[in-house]
Amino acid sequence: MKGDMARGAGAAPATGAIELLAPMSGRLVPLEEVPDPVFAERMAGDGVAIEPEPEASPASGDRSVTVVAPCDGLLAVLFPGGHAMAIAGPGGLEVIVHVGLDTVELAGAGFEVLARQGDRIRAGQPLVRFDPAALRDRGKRALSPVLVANVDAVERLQVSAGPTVRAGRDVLLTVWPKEETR
Amino acid sequence: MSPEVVAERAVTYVSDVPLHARPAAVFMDRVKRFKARVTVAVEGGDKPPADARSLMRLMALSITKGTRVVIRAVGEDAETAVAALTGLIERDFRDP
Repeated sequence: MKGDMARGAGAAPATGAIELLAPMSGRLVPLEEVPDPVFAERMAGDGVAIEPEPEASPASGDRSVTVVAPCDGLLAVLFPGGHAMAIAGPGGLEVIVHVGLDTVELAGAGFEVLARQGDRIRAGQPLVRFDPAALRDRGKRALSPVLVANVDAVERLQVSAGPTVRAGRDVLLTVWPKEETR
Repeated sequence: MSPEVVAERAVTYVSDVPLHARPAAVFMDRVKRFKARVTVAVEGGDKPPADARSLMRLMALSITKGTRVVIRAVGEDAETAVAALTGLIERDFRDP
């Protein structure tokens, strides 16, 4: 049945495409609706943004959101503050997760870093934990763009239908790299 | 085939914000307007020059305020490219 395909962590569908898992749980927001032209105009790459939602039930009092690796690869960039990371993934893909908007100004406040730049990482591995409410308290949007930066190497990119995704469980982006780059 | 032009210049990174996702994307967007192949390196650094069309590699250079940055371009418009890109860094990514 269409739309009912098996979805394993980092598993490639039959067509040879690469599946990137949702790095956090939340509601999908098209890039055009991100209030920052660098993301909205796709200058930083193509993908989708996630308005993060805590995994735990509100009753637990745990408001934190864990950012997990969307694929196997090398954690090429993890900013000391934890707000941005870049992964050299399968098929030569460069995947960027930017947690929140203008969050560089927080210099790590509200973030807990769980991995190190240069680490080999596995799909689903926790990288950063943050508190969306703490970001909002400091006047920042928690809306987080997830991008394939090197669009030149991409033939086609498909965004999950959403409207919500679960971290490390749902496929967020399906990417078909260009033949010559594989 | 026209002879390959090579241009190179070092500038100091003056922005308060490190060369992370946003400014690196602005820089890369400007790089794509030129035909020349552009690389960025940290002066005296141990990392190899980064391809300026790779946002990830630009970010991985960990460039922050005060870093001396070497911009190198190879191609027919190399000199224009280096002038524009070093200017962009010196002007804190503001258009002239």
